[in-house]
Amino acid sequence: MLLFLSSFTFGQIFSPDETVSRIADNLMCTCGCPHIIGHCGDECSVAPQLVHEISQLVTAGNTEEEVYKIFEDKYGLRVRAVPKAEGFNLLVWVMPFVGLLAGVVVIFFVINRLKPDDSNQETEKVHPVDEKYRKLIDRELER
Amino acid sequence: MIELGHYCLIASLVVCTFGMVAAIVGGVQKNLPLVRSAENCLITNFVFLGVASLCLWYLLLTDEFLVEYVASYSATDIPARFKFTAFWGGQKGSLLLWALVLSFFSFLVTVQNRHRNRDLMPYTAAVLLGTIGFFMLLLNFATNPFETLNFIPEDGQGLNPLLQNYYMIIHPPVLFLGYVGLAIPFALAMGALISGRLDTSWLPTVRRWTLVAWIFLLFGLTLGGMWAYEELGWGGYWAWDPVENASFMPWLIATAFLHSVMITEKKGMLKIWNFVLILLAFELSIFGTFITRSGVVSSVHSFALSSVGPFFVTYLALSTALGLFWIVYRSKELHSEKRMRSFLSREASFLLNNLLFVAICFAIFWGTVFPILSEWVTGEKITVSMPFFNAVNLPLGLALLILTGVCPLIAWRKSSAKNFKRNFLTPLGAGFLSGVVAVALGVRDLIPLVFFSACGFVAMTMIYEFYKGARARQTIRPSGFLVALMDLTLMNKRRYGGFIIHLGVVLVFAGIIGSSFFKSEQLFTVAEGEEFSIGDYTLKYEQLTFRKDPEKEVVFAHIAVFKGGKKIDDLYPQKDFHYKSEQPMTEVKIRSTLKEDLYLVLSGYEEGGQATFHVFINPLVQLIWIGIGIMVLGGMFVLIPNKKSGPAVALKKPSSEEVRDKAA
Repeated sequence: MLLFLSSFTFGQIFSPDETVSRIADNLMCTCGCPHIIGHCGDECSVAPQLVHEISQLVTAGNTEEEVYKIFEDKYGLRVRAVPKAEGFNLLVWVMPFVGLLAGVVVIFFVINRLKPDDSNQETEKVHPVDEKYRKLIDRELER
Repeated sequence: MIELGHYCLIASLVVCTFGMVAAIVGGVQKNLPLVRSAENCLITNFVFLGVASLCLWYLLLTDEFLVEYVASYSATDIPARFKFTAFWGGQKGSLLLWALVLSFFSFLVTVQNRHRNRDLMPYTAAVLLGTIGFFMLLLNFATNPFETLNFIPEDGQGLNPLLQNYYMIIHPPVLFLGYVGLAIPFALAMGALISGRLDTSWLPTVRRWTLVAWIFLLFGLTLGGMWAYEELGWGGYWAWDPVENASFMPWLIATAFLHSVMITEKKGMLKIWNFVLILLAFELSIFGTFITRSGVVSSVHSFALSSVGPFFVTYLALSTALGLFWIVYRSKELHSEKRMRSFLSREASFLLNNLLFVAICFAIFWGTVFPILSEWVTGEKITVSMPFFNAVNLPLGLALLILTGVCPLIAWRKSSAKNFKRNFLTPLGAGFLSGVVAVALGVRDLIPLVFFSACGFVAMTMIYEFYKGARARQTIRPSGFLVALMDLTLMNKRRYGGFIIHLGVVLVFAGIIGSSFFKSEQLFTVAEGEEFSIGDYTLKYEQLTFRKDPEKEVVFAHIAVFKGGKKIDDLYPQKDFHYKSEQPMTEVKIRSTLKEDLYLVLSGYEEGGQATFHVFINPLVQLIWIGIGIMVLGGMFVLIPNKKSGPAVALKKPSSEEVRDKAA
């Protein structure tokens, strides 16, 4: 059994270079786990093969985008860790920032709505004791 | 025991149904005996679910494989502690645990509110009983943990080996305490909305319960991260897995609520917003349970697929509709009591803080559910994974970190240019200095540099707040600095406990940035006796050893670790092969220091003794665990009750910070 296990080795592959690592971090492992290739556990026998495949493609002169395309054609859209920002899938990138922008607009209106009119300005009464302590703190802070 | 467990679940469902009706009728008719009866149902329910849970534990510990759940998640050869934890190893037990914890919390709420929040309690009890009732429906009719097989297997299938470690003994129940804890604020808020009791008198109770849930969620998330770090063997602690996201989202919203409720308590503002946040946090906790146990999305946590999805979706829809209906219905009575004077005020900065928490939560939610949505629309399966979550959350996280430092420096109502300059000068100086130190230490990338500077800025803000407060207190009541600091902190646990939490946040950010941007990893294939180097370490592969245990085969390598020519440690990374699950498992070995973790994985080996090691250097990871520990302690500090107000306390001078806040 342990000898069978020994087949799960990275021994045949190299230490991935930067481009290969980057590509492996943008592609999902196809072993059925929910991880990117670079993060698939060391029990996985598929991830090393995929890294090897990426390496061969990079060595053969394919660009990063071409490697993604080749993987997409071979394993389906799911292999990309994030879908390409086009068509409906553009929304995955757009919506978080649309949501944030909408929030900023809402806050702007809320603050504006909650701001008092100058004609109806609340007059703040500062208690003499508060004033005494405030001066004390101010003096202390200026030291 | 099987029958007793069955009957307890049925009895619990009956009690929930009766109690819910009694609570509503009692509340509407102002009938105290009926309301008390409903509250007693909450207590009785805890007894029934306690007995049902004891039955399941008994069946697990006695290997009663006639029970389908026991046969699926336990086995004769697993240690007793894992038979005990097999209770939450699968969906049925997890849902029973959810109901048990909720019934326990409901019991506590009932006792806590015997003489307070009386207007709210009938409806609060009804909501709690309704929620427990939902789980009872599931447990009785969809996923019964006491369901039997029509034969008795010789042995069970055993617990997933990934779950057989000490983190799994406490990670799920702690996380569930957090999830379930959020049901209490929801029930109290619904009680307030339905009863029309919309003042702020009940808010402290809600705030404390939310904080309890917040602490448990944070602790549970951390335990999960530690488990992933030590068990999954990829060198990281957070993978933006859908289930991790599902636990993180309610925590984010609970954090937003804990900030916004301060505005409500101090200024009477944002009341509607608070109700929305409480509702959202609860619904996300249900959504999290649904994601964890339904198998609707692919996850490392999807240990079992199930049929509970439609039940959860229905409950989510109903409870959201109910919550929204009452918020809209009461919206006119929930207007702000005070007005916001400036964009440059603490109120406004808290609003911005809330926006960021909700935006991060939304981005995570969107990324988590988008694959399902995309498949519905385009018919194609896609994945949204780590690169998306990292890219989107990096700028939002930075903004949140900076705001953590900015908020305390801005005065309530309106900041003047003078106090703005005075307050910001020192923290900004510290931020700049942190950046210079980071450059001196070799950091050249812009993103980590900005983050480390922001960490310095926020840390100094917090430390300076303690310093200023203690100095002012010394002036009012002469004493040593440390005594003044302690007095100050104890007098305003909420404020200074919050600052302690923020100091923890700084460490967490520093740790995340350090371990993400400066991580290095390398694969080495070496023969016995050979040496290899990574970072400052030289590792010598001494030998490979095989061992047979009753439940697994183990192979482990002896690695001697050297630094600066001196031997500093021996590590034994190993691989296990469990006979039953036929699943190989990596047992990572980690040498931790504050500066970095040396993370060693035995990736593979060959017959002649040659082995491949995957070695990582993960800088500053320990800061994350320490930071979270500080956050948890800070949260617990805030929870310590203040002394009862008496005449002596009433005469006490206000703290300098309180006075400064008022004056500003």
